[in-house]
Amino acid sequence: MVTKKKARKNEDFKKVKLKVGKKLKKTTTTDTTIKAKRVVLASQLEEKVETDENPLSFRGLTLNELCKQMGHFNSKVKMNAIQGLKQILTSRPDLVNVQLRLLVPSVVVHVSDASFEPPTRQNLLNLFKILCTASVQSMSAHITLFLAHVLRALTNIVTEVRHLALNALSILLDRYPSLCRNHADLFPCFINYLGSSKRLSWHKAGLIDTILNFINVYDMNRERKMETTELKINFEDGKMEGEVNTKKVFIQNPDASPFDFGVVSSSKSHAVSPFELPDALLNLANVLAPIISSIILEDAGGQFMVQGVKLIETIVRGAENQPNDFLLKDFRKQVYDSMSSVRIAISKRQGKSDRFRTAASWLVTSSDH
Amino acid sequence: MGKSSKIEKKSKKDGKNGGPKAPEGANSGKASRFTMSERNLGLMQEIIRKDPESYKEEFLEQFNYFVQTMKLLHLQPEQNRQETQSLQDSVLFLSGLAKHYPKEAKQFADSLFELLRVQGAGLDADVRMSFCKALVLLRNQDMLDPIVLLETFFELVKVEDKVLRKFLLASISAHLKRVYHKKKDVKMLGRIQNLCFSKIKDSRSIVARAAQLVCIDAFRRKFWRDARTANVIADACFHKVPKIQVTSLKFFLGSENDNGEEDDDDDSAIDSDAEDNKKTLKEVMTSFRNVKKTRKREKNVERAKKMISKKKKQKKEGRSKECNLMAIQSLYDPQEFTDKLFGALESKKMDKFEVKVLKIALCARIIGIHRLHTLSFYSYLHRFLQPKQRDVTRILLYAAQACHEMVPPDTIEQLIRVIANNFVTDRNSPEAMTVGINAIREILSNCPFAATEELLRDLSEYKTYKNKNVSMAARSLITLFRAVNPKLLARKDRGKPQEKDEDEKEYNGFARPKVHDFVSGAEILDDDGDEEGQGHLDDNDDDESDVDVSDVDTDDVDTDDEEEDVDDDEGAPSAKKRRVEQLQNPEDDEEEEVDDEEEEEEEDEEEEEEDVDDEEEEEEDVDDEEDVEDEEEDSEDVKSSAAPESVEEDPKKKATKNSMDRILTQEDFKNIRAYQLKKQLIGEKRLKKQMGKGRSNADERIVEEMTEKLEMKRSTDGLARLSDIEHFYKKKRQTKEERMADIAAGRADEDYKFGRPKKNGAHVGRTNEQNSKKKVFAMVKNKVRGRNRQRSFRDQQKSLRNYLMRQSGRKPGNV
Repeated sequence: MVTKKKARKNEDFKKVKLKVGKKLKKTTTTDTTIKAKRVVLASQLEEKVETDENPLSFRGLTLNELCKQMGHFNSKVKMNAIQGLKQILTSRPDLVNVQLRLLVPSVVVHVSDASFEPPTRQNLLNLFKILCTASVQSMSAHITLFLAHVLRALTNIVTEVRHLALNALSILLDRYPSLCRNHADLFPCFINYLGSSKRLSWHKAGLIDTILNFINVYDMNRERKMETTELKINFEDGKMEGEVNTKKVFIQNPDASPFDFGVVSSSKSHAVSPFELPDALLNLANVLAPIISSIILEDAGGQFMVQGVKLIETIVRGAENQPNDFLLKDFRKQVYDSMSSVRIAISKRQGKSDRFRTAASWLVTSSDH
Repeated sequence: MGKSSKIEKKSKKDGKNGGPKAPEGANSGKASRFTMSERNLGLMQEIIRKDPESYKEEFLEQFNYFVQTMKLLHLQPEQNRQETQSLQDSVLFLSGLAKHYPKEAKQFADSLFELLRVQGAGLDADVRMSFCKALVLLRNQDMLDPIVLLETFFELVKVEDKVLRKFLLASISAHLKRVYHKKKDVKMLGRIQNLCFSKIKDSRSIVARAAQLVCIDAFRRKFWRDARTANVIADACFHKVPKIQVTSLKFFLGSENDNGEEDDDDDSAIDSDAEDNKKTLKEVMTSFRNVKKTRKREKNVERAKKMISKKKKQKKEGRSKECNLMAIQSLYDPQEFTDKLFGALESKKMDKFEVKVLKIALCARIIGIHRLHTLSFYSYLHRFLQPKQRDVTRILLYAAQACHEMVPPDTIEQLIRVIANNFVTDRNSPEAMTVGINAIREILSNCPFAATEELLRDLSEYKTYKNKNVSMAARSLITLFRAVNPKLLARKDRGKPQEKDEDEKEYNGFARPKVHDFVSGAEILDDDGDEEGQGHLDDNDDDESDVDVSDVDTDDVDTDDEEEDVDDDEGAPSAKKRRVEQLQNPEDDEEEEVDDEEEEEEEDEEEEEEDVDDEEEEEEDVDDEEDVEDEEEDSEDVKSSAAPESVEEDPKKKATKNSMDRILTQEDFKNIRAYQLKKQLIGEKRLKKQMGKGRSNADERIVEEMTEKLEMKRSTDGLARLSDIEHFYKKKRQTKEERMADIAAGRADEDYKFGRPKKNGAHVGRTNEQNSKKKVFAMVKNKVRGRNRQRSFRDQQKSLRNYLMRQSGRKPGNV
């Protein structure tokens, strides 16, 4: 048996075992290699300080973080993020205008999110409302994206999503009529929605109001001021005769953003409203006719009386004052035909139909066409 | 403002009711026609497919959704996951139904095209893929112009997305297959071909590469197996991007190990036969599904699956390994091509070595196959011919492949001298010397006139070299020249001359051609005509290996070449005759070239369809038989007197019998040819004398190998193989790694063998005790030690007594 002492004594004279193919380590060299490891500091644990530019939510998250969380796959996290955003923006309403560039893409995407629970959806709608407190100028840059999302959600297969989209659209139409008017896709898309079998039924809250808002947007004043300036450009000399004041163009219409050119974005020049185009008006009449007739026939309590009358009046006015009716053959007759169901409804409804009748007098009388 | 407040009130009310708001049938105005399928696009697709007319509205709604989404995509190319999912779903839905609504389908396809073209690179990878799949679906339903689609695909190839590229290439070649097999639309194939050819010249290298891959694939799979494609691929050898060059070069060169090529073909033939007999994967799975599941059956199924997938893989790999003899042969101007390739090789110094070697290989192969004159190529090779050079065996091989009869002997002589000086000297390692001698042998077998007496004698002196490899290589060189030109050899090396074979004379006298009543050489076949071909082969192999020719090299009589040539048999297939002529008088070039062309044509046919070839062979056989029948009367007496014991004395009779009694198979002819070649090499007498002796030695092996090689050269493209050059008589001792690798390879499915411990599985490596610890306690409760042991009364008494004694403080054990 080898004692401890003996072992220690023999330490220096140990027999080295040799193996084929293995190199012996030299005992006289010093190992000079250095091993270094990277030290990583977790920035996650950094203390966040609330400042004027960088407010925190109740849970201590910044606006930026909340917007990131809006893209999270878990709907619970998204819900919390919505609430956080709502809270920050209500306490600091001035931020809405400033941070719109960050907020719109991250929030508006969720208008077509089918995974939300109804309460979350309500929260989202409220958040939209808060976003829509932004001024017209600041919103003008983002309205295209906003509307694109909303219009897409209007065609979604899920009913709740469409409903939310309709409400959002209503808010937008109400708040930014001038911006909405310039959006080229809005009119056909909304008409499409109204014509589809998947739209909200007439007596549900929101639909009629949205339609009225929609009509308000496009039913602009008839007296259009067209200022014409004549310019002569001589290409040979490269000179221009006459004076043009670009500033004046924008002053005329204070709502128009100076960067909003019809060519660049999908917005249309606002010189022509769809109401002044016979095709568009005819489409609108076609789509609205079943709604109006169902209002007349089924609205027993008379809550929707005023709105119904308004709708009829709008169509009648639009048809009568059509400036471009030469574009479509038999325009008036076609409008008249499209409203036939309304006429039948009015004649069926004996009692309170007086107001309707007066509103639709053109429709009734102009049967001579 | 009043209005807006009203709306807010409304929505607040909404909010209050909002909580329990059910997904009520929101479209109460019109009862939903498919409430069930509302959220399920797949179900809706099924319903719409049954009655597309009446469900048009639903389709249009989805279509509107798609249109809106596309508008959004234009505004905002990046989207998060959930949205892309819904988009993919709707694209799938629309593409499935598109054929019912052509007008919308057009718009759908156009918008997909536009988006892919405008922002193809910026799109999400999954969305892009789903778009491409939808377009492929539309194309398969003939709703699209395939050319437009292909152009878009070639544009998309430049997007950095590996999966997408793979998909695009696969879909293009799938489309080609469809057009080729199902529709037989030659016009469309031509149009696609033109498009691909124009894309190969595209300035963007990735597009060019994609087009090149499509062309190569189509050539291999015979969609476009024509000279035009081959030449377009050949042009890509001079592309500025090395990767494209290499792909083209490899296409022409085929597999890396040239030797494996033939074996591969054989294997695949056998495989396809075997596969016909065996079950497919589907069959295996269905039969497994319908039986009781036992562990053994499970194992068997697993094994069968593995085998099937392995075979599939092999088949796929084998296809790419084919040497493209046809592609090389269909080059429009091989001389110019080689000059250009060689020019690129000489001028550009920046090539990687591997690329250089590939270019050398292709040059050599084209020179060899087309018999070109690119004389500076040989002197270019000189600089690489050093034993220390990387891949020198390959370069030696290419040197040998580039040599043919039309090259001036002095050029070859120089080359040989360089090899001899650099490799075959005593200061080099035996391996280098062996390789050098082998290479010289290969070169000289191609052009025997380059050999000088002096050099040959020098080299033949190595036959007594102490290293076996070197000496055997030298002997094989001697053996070659014994057949080709014995006069150059030293007298003692020349071997015994062949006796005149009276039987094989072509003419009996002036203008009296001898008519054969047997296939000459048929006597070596076995007697039993009824036996299977396989049986013959085995027997013959035995016979051949029994031949003992130990002292051939000591014979010293001249072989009479000219006589032999004239004497050559008529009965054997003409191909054999051609080869022999080629061996012995290579000077009459014209005839030979014609012959070679014929040969190559035959090979092509073989590649194309083997059936036809078989038929031809059978016809040949029939011809032989007819000859035989003509002469039946003459040989009657011979036939009657044929006796089993007189086989050795009377080969003629046996041959007659063999060739009359049976239909000679391909294998039989092969054996006959091998025998006759051997006879040429060592002389008939000796061959016969040595038959039946059960010993083999080195010389005999050389002869065997030589005959085999000659045989192989005749049957394929006639180029040398790497194994010829790297041939070592004595195998090198394996290193430990190699041995271990061999062992591991042998152990692959050892687990299935009986009588060995298992290596894989759930319980391997644990004892039963260990296993029992993992079991649920209720299972092993009754087996707990002691509980189940029945002790005898006496034992119980004993232990009780011990216990009591210990308690009382006394020592137990003393009774």
